Amino acid sequence: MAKILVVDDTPANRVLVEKLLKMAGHTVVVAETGLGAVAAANEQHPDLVLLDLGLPDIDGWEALRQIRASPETGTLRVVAFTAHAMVGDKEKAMAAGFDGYMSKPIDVGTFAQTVGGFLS
Amino acid sequence: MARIPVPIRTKLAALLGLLVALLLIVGLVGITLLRDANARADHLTELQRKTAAYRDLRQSTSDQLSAVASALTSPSAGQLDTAARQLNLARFDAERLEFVAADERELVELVRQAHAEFIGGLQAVLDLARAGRSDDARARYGTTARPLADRLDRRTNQLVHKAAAETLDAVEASRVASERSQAAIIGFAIGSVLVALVLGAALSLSIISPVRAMDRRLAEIAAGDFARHVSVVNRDELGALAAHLNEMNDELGRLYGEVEAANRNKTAFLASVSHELRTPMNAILGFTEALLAGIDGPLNDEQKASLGWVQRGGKDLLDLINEVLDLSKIEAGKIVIAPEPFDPRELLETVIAQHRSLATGKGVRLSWREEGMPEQVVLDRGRTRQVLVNLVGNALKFTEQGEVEVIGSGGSDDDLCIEVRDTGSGIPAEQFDAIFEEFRQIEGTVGGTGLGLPISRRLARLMGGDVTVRSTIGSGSTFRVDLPRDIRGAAASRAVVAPATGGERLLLAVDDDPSVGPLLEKMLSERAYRVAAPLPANAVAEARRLRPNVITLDIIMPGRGGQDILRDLRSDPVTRDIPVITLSVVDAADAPTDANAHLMKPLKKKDLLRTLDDLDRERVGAGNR
Repeated sequence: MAKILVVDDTPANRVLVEKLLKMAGHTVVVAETGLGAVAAANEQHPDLVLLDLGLPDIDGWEALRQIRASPETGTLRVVAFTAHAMVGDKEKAMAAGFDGYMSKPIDVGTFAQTVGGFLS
Repeated sequence: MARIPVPIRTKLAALLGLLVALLLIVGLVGITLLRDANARADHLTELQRKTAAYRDLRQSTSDQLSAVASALTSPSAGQLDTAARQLNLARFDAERLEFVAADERELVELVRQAHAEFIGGLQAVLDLARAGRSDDARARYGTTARPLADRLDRRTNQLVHKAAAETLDAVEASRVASERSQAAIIGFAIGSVLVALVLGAALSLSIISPVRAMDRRLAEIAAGDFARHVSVVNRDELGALAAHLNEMNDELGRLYGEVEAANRNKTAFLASVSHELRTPMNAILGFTEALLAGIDGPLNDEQKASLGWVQRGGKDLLDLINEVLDLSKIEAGKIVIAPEPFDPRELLETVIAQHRSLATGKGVRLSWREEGMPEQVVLDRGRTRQVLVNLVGNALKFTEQGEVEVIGSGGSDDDLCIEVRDTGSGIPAEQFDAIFEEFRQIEGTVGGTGLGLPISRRLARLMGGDVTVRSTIGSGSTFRVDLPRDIRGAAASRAVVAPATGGERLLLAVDDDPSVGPLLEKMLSERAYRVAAPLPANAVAEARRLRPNVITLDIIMPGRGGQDILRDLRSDPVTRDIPVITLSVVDAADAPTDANAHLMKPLKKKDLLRTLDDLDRERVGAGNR
């Protein structure tokens, strides 16, 4: 299946997402910080990045900018993954260059399917 | 008058005293003038009487003269006796003369002498005639009686002329005096009326204008404006009243500020706590569901049942947290109402289906029907659904047997009206208000946050409707939702707009009058401005989202007014620096002072453009510093 980079600073979320993705047969790489995400993206060349927007060092917006700035990772599929679901956030994320948008909390039953949609 | 430091009662008494005094003076002047007129009339009568007496004297003189003359032409005893009787009557004439003309002593004395001599002369003539000396008598008549008569006549004439002259003088004087009295009385009356009017007006102004000012101020205080003091210069009871009013205003303002701050803190606290609680809840629920789905391997039935309890408890807790978060969002004005067209039948069916299993489990019949419900409405579907879910859920919760029936109709104004009727225990009438307050429930009833009804009512009101209740103890309650059929109508250009980009600038028009947005758009047609006009309830949220270049803000609006919205805008770091132009029928003096500019309605294009230019210059100036 696919290799997916999961970026989230909340351990519970990270572990849950990791388990669900593994159960669906994917390979999972994790990062806990924005800079960690940029580095992992460079080294691992994942098929998909699930990027939390609120991160401790550089936020998701800046991490995306750096990923897009590098020729190595510029074309990666990056999906915004956030708990702050506000009206207009999705539009903002798409305008900033994300390939998709997922809001937390995740729906366990449909999560794998939703991620599959971003991969195809 | 207002600044005189005496009680109003004294002022009123003084004014009344003055009026009485003026009346008395007018009366006294009138009486005096009447008395003068009376005296003049008496004087005239006197003069007339004199004139009559003189004339009588002259008449009787000529009668006597002719009686003697005719007695002389054919002297007989009869004739002579008649003439003698005539002469005797002369006494009365003389006495009457003295009586009527007591003030003309000198002239009357002369007349009396002449009269006495004349009568004496005639007596002598008669004596001669009676002695048979007719010729002597005739001669004597010619030589003495006639000249005496002439002299008497001249003197009498003097009296007559004098009296006539006096009469003329008196008539003239009377006329002049009458005119003068008239003028005096009219003048006095007009003067009194003027004095009374001026003083009365001054006094009533000094009472009424401060009362009006205080009344206006009280109305403003009632509307929640504590920013100003009423200024009353009176140094009487009203001045004291105004001073107390101002003290009360300050105290109320202070208390209001404290209450508001406390309420804001509570709302902010609830919002942040709920938000923080949601993250771990998501982990709990997520892992529970994942475990149930077999993420860590298969589970036996008991493990599944136990996890089911964890899941149910977690969901209840999350519902509660979401309700608290919802309420705090509504209170902070951060809920965006997004109208969309939908069929209320389809919504009702969904809501009923969602509660079907709960109803069946309790043995309560759950049904819905419609009576002329609109086929399509334009409302916030999610929020409408939230209200209905709340009401149907509540009805089921409080109904142990019988049925819950939902009836959709067109309401009274052909809007959307949905009634949820249950056969529960009912609600006492004195609780009708309390159940819509936060964290209140009827004492001794089953659990829950008690937030469902307050949230439902607030959501319905945000959409221009309401939730109401009627109930009979023992036979059940009916909750009724009334909603407008189309809330876009209230906001023709209030569709969701994208944030400002590029060189184009965005003006956010916050006004309960839907015509203001299009009007501003028209006025700004030659500038690079777009105009967005959100529902006032969404103003703060929309300002956060759109980050407009400038906001126009109506001050007087139903629900949260411009003052509240401005305060929210200023307390949010995202919207704090957006220039705000207050736009209202109220005077600039009454507008919130922390707005950047104020424009009066009706709005003039010229003023709007100039104000926008001024604001631009200020911002450029601030940027250069």
